[in-house]
Amino acid sequence: MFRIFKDKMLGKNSSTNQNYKLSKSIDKNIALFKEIFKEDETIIYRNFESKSKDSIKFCIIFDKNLSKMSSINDYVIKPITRKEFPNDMSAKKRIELLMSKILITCDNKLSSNTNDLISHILYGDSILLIDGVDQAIQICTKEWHQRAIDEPQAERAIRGPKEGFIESIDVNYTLIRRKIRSPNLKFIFKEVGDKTKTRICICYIDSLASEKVLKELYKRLDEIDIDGVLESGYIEELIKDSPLSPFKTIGNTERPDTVCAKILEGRIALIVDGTPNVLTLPYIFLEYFQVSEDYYTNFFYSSVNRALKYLGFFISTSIPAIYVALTTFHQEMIPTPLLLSISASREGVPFPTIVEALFMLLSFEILREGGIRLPSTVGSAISFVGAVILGEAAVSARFVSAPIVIIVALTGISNFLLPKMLGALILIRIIFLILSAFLGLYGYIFGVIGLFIHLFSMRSFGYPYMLNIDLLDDEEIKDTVIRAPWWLMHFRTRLIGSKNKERQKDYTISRRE
Amino acid sequence: MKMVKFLPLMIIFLLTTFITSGCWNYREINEMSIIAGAAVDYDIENDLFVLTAELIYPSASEREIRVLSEIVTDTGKNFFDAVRTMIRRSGVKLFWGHVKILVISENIANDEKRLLSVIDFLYRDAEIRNDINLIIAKDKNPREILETDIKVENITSFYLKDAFENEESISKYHAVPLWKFVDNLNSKGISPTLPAVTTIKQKDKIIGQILGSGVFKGGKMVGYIDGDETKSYMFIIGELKGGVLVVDKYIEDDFSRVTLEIIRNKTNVTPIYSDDKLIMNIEIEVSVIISEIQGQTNFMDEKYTKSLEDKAQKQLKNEVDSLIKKVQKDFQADIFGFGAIIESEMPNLWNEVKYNWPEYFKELETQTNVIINIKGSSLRSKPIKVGE
Repeated sequence: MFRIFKDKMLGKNSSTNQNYKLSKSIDKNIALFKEIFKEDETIIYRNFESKSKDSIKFCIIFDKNLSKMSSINDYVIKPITRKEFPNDMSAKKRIELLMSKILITCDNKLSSNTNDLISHILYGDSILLIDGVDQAIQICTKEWHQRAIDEPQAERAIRGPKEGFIESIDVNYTLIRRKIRSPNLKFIFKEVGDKTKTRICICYIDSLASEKVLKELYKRLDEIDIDGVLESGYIEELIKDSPLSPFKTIGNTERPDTVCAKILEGRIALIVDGTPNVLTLPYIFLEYFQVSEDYYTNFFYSSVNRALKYLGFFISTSIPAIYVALTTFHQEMIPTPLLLSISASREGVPFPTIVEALFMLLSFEILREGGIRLPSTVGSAISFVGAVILGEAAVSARFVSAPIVIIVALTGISNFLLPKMLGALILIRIIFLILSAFLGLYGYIFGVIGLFIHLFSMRSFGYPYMLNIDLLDDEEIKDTVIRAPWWLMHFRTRLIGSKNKERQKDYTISRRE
Repeated sequence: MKMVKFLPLMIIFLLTTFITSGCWNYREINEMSIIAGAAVDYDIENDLFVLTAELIYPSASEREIRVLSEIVTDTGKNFFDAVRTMIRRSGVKLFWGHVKILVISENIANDEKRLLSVIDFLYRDAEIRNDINLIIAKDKNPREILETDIKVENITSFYLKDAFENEESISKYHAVPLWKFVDNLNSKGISPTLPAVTTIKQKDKIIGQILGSGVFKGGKMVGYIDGDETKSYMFIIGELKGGVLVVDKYIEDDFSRVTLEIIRNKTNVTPIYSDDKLIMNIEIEVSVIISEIQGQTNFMDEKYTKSLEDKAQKQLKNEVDSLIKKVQKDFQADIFGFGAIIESEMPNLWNEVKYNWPEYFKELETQTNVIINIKGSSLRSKPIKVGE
């Protein structure tokens, strides 16, 4: 249905990209580029000639802000103007001479594809036009400002590397390469986006990653036909399984160590230029509960943290729903003293419990969304106003009862144990809440069953989404609810790492015994 | 297509949540009256059930929450009728899910039909828990039990409930939850008992006092046993978990009153059939510690310990035997569950005797063996010597 609608709207809007052809005359070629970059003042056309009497005309075209001018001066213009070209030289010879002896930059390429040339100019490279040649030389002169490598704000670790990805794909690539020094680590570059021509990089270890997943990934990436990709989120939504689900089936992280760990488990990473968020796939439900620090700290401590995250998932999705169900349907299940204190605090509150709960949850989400993008000084004021003024004042004015404030605060804090699941948690919480306001615990259980049916029916690139949650095999439990010590984790994750199961040889354990 | 169906469905869901907030079983906590306990009496003149309920309502002030209670009374043709008519006194629907105790008057307990009418409703109704405690109001109007001046906790029902929960350190009354009472009532081989409560005047306050048990036979109450007899009763049925034994003992003309604290008790009742005669063999094994000595004798001395044990055994055996005799003679109600034991141990014999069990029980011979082990003497090994 949507496809028909889309086609109608767009009509026959085919690509406007024409393929220009370079000619042998340099003046014509310059005119061609001037036509293409009409009214663009950042493109520089520098004409110069070689030293000899009947000199050859050259022209270098580049973007003055994206290219490093000093290297153009020193390594392109200076050597050429000082060199004498023999008059009777053929065009082919001239290029050979230029490429091998004169241009002392490291990455030069000959090309006659104008679209290619244009995109290189716009990416900071220089184009050298030569009189009498219907080709141009691309010279690598990229240089622009980028953020320093910094600790990712959203995924801090107390123990573990403090570096994070940045917006440049080339830097991000090096961060991964530096950690896994193996020729098996492959980087495949592609471009997506008609207009943005965003570079993406598929990164995997070819002895570990499944060919089926790779094939499927290539297929899905090839199907992308969008004008621009500004963040990996575009690609994530375009290629993910279960597109209507609030749950992620493709992971993202800003931490190079996390990406490397996932690559080493047989997963595939997808770096997108212009964003520090790198995608990893396939992604299973359990990965919500795993953070890189789990693997660096003591395994007891990590297991406790894992357990807390599962508890946080339960609290965050269910506590408001269970509270509403108990207080409005199953009062006999509440211990008498607790019932009395809830009853006392609800004295004089005008709204039904469900309205209270929805109102408080809504105001919490408003505070969260309001505070998150503000500068930290203003943000803390927001949270202060929210927590103290709104909560306290609403209770003392008898707008809401005190228990619901406690419930919502608890829910809100538990939210942040699973920061990546935030969107899904909000949705599940509201659905559970409404169901239990309808039917009590009966409705809540319906919601839980529905959620589990949904989760168990999902796939991520062919792998079951709830992988390793449904079984308690002594091998597979080692990296689920608990985090086993490293000397016990002999095998990679089931299915995902099946191409090469063995993570480490048995000798570590035998040495211990 | 999925999306098109999903959206209206969600909207309907949300709308109905707000519209049908008053649907079945949806009750806001503060819109109902919570009953802590109830008392039921029978008005013989007008043939009406008189129901008294203790409603609790929390009153929240600025900083603290106080729980207050209020006694309301109404009447009805039967128990449930009274329950419903009571709404006109409280204004809102009554919530019976947290009822802790139900006090039954003697004139209901003494009449099979009336008692069953009450018990049937309690057992049938979905809201009332099966573990509420039933109590007999001895010599008093049950309403008076709920109207006592309790200082510790404002709510009489909670006070009574707490007293039942701590029975194991007193052992002078035995709490019977509703389900157990009904079970025993149904069963042929065991007769139920209920704890009795009365009120006494202390200075100018009236306070409730639980003591002893009412003995039931068939569907009605036939009499009472007092507090110490209840302790013996608990010894026999093996429910005793604590309490004290007070033993008077002369050692070489030196009188000592020793209090033994029961720390463990194990009772084994086995039927022995020989020579056409059935004897119930009751083995009671009690572990005690000396917790108070009124006198100068050091009972941790081995010879005195032995004699104290002998004295205590003899005393307990007498108490148990006399209780059995009394129940056999006065009530003919098998409150000890001997019948149930015979049924499980000797089913063939039971089939013969079950039709005239009450008569058989009256003549049943018992044989009691009491073993008391003194395990220690708390923190002191010697009594306090008074210097000359």
